[in-house]
Formats: sequence, structure tokens, C-alpha cells
Amino acid sequence: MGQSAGYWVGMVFGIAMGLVAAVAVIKAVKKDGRLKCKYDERQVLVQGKSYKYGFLALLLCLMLDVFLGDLAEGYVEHGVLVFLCVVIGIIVESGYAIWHDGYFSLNEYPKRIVLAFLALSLLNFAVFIRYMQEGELIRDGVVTSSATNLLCAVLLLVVVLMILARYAYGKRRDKG
Amino acid sequence: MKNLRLKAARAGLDLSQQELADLVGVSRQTISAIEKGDYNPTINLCIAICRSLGKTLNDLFWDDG
Repeated sequence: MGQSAGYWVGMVFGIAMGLVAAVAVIKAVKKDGRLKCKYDERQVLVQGKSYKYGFLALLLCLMLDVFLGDLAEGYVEHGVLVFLCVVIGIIVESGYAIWHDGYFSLNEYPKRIVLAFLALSLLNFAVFIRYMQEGELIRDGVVTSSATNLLCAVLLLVVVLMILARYAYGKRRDKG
Repeated sequence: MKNLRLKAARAGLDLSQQELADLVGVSRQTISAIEKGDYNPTINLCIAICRSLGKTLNDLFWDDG
């Protein structure tokens, strides 16, 4: 079915605005205002390992989805389960990188990143609440893709919590 | 194995880990990891650290024994 021209204009405008906002946020969290992140040699090694563990976690979750996904049929849309696998992979990847000091680049403001993540988490949570109020979350007894906003909010919140936990641990270790 | 020679050379110039890290273009945690012996730096980073501290590779990184 063809969509109206207004729909496509709105879609393109929305994507363009999203890209402009993303670039603005990425520049705002950088000390030098550049888009590219600078990492030192140890951080690059840490990231190599973190991507490996994240990939393995994603692989494991997708295998579980292949074998056990049918159990959720009729309760949750399959796309939500796949998205959950991606979220778990990202949590493992970022968790390893955060804990081994390979997450923040040399030209980033960690505090601004934490604030940006918190704002994005709240935004996703607000969208999720709105979907829930409109009755879009569960349709015919099946959790729809609207739940991905909740997963995004939880993902960002978990990443922020891991950053804060690592910061507190580092402070305590430096004192000790 | 801890690199106490690096720590002593840095302290001798009254530099913090962050200041040395800024001089050689790495994170503070990387300097900390080298001093603790948790990370073996590449030869390029060793040279950069030696230049910043006015020391030789023998002074800071070569194992005598």
C-alpha cells in the first residue's frame, strides 16, 4: 500500500532531525568537538576483548531464541526477543569495556555522556509509557514491538549504573 | 611485575599519572596499569614515556636480571 507524499516528507524530515540531534549530542560530549573518538593502545585491546565477549553473548542468546523462542510465541512478538538478544550483547560488551577502562575515549567528557544516556533513557521510558497508555503495548495478548523502547531505556540505565559502579570502585581502590 | 622505576621517575619530576598520560597521549588508567604491571606497553609507548620523563628505555623498562 502506498503512503501519502506527506508521510514520506515527514519521515525524511524526522530522520534528518534525528541525525542533526545525534551529531549535536556527539559533538557536545567531546572535549575537542570532533565526531571521532580517540583511544589509546590499551583501550583498543580492551575493546577487542569486549566485542568478542559481546558477540559470544549475542550468539548464545540467539541460539536460545532459536531453540526456546517458540515457547514465547503468542505472548511476545519475535522481533522483541531478537532485540532483547542485542541488548544483552551490548550490556556484556559495554560492561567489560567499562570495567577495564576502555569505554570512554580520551577526548570525551564522561559526565556529559552519563547525562546524555540518562536523558535518552528517560525519553525512551516516556515513549514506552505513552504506548502503554494508548494500549499499543499489548495487542491481542501479544507484547508488541513497542516494548523495544522499554528495553532501550533499561539498556541505557544499566550502562549508566555500570559506569557509576566502576567509578565508585576506582575511587575506593585509589584511596586504599 | 610492578614498574617502580617508572613510578619513581614520574614522581621525581613531580608529575601526576594524569599529567604524564596527557604528555604521552594515553589515559590515566593506562599509566596506572603500566606502573602496576597489569599492562605491557608497546615499544612506541615506552619510547614516548621515556622521552617525556627524560629517561632511556634501559632506565625504565629493561629488566636487569
